[in-house]
Amino acid sequence: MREDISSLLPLSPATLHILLSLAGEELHGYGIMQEVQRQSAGKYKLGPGTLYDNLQKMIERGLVEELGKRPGDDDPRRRYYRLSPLGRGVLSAEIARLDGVVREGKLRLETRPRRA
Amino acid sequence: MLRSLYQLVLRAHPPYFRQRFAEEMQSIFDQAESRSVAAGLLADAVLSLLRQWSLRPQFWEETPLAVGRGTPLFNVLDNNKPRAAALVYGAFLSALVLNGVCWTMGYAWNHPIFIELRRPVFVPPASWDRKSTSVPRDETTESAESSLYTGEGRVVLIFPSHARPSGEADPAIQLSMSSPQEPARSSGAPIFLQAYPGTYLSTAENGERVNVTLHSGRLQLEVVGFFSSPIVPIPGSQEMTCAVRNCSARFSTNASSVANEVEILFDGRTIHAYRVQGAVF
Repeated sequence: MREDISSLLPLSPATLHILLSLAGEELHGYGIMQEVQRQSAGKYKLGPGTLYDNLQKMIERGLVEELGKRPGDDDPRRRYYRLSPLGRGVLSAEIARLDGVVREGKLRLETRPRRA
Repeated sequence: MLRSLYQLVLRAHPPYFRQRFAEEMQSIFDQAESRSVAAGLLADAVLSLLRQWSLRPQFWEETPLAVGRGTPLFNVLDNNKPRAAALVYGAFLSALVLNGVCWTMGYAWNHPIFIELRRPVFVPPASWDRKSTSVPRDETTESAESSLYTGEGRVVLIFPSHARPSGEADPAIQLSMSSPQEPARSSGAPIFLQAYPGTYLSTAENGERVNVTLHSGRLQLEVVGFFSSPIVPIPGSQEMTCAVRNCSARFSTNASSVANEVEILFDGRTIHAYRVQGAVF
């Protein structure tokens, strides 16, 4: 499992944002787009084409599970998605990797020699 | 307008992607707040279309519908459209096979086998041998057999027999049955052929010598100093024809049906010869 997760890293920005948006709750496609926009403070906008292309790949790899339509939803055409255990593991590994990158970056920036 | 275009672009997506996500993408498009947002979504769909057809060939095929446990699965062929690549490949393969078949047929038709039928050699049929015996034959059912030799092989021709009245015997049989010479029968050759072998001498100044011999049931004609050739009777006539060259021989018989004279035509010449030796009857 560990090897499988490490082979999927590093994640692309779109994959990372989609996994992040699904980490909290089950969402439909439009909800994922809105959540990505909220998480990035409007700096990263995900189009439907990019979203579903990534979702297609993530479903194929087992990172995301499709739950289907929910009765009583505002739009009956919507399908819901959730993070799979593997997807959660991949997201955790990616966050840990990014955490290391951030710490390393901070360390480098702090030890930067100051000009006299 | 933009919605129609968006629908058009979605329909152009690969079947797998269209089946799974087109409805949701349309749903998102319908929630576009402004025309500029809708135009942006349209551009995104066009990019998606290019990406799906160029970079995602593994997702072109439609997936079978998911069914619950115990539910029978039926595949409906209406939605099973073959891939474009499969159609192109199939068309190419069909054209290739069709061309191959046409070429093979054309090659065969352009290379006929011509068999030159040379002068036929009719061998006395085995039934003639049976005629020499005392066993009566059934003329209505028996057919005469003849063998035709060519340079390319052997062809057997079967001719229908002409039925004769039961009281009328074959002339050849008459010849053999009327002959008092039993030794001729024991030679194994057709009886009526025994009337021809012997030595004939021409009355011309040159005095050509003609030998007619019988070996294994076949007559051999030799004009000494000129040629030697097997000869066979031509059914329905008094003539015999040579097997290996253009010549013919006409025998005349005496009252005992024994050949005593022969007229040979070859190379524009005519030799008239009389028997001097070999009368067997």
